[in-house]
Amino acid sequence: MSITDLVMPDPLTLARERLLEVDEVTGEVEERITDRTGDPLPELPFVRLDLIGGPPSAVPERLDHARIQVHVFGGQHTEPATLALAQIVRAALVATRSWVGTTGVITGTDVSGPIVLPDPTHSPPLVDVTFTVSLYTHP
Amino acid sequence: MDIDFEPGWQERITRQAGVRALRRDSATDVASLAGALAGHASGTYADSLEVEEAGDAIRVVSSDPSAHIIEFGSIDTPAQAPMRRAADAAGLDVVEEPRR
Repeated sequence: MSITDLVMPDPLTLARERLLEVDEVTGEVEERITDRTGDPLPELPFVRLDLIGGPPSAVPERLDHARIQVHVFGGQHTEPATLALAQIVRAALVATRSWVGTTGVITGTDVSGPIVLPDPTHSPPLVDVTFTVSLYTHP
Repeated sequence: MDIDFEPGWQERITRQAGVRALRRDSATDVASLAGALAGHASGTYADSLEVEEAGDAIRVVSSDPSAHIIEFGSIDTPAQAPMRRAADAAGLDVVEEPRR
C-alpha cells in the first residue's frame, strides 16, 4: 500500500465546494462560505465551517471521517430566518451522497440537529445557528 | 433462531455497579482530555470541568461561562470542541441531539 493512498483530501475544501453548487444556499449567502473569520467580518448572512477533528482509527483506512462544525450567522436576520437558512445548508449536506468534487469524493454525511446559540460577545447578540456534520471522504 | 430480549434489559445493564463504574471512568477520561485539548492558557476552563451524576446520567459539565463559546465558537472565534474531541479520543460515539 502506498502512503499516497492514505493522504486524504481537505474536508473543508470539499464541503465548501459542495455547498457552492447548491443554488438555494448561494442564493442567500452568495460565495460567503468561509473557513475562518476575522476583521473585517464577511457581510451577513454567511456560513463558516470549523474543522473540529473526528474519531480515531486504529487501522489504515481509505475513508476519512472528519467532523465539521457548521455555523450560519444571520446578523440582522431574525432567528426564524437564520434557522430556515441553516436548514437549507443542512439539507444540502444531508443530500450529499457519492458526490465527486475537484479534490476528492464525499461518500456520505452524518448531520446533527441545529441549535441556536447565544453570542454574548456582541451587542445586540448575533444569531448563530450551528450544527455538526461528519463527512466521509476519500481521494 | 430468534432471540427475544427481556424488556428493559439495557436500562438494567446500564445501572449495574460495574457498568456504572466504567461509565464514570469514561467520563473522567473525557473531562481530563477536554481540559487538555482546550487552548485556554489560563486553565480556567480545565479547572471548571467536573463529572456529575444525576440519576442514571453521568455527565461532564463545565461551569466556565465561556464554555459554549469554547465548544461551539462564536462569530469571530472558531470552535475548539474540546468535549467532542475528547469523547472521540476516548473511543465514545458522539451523538448530538437537536436542541434549541
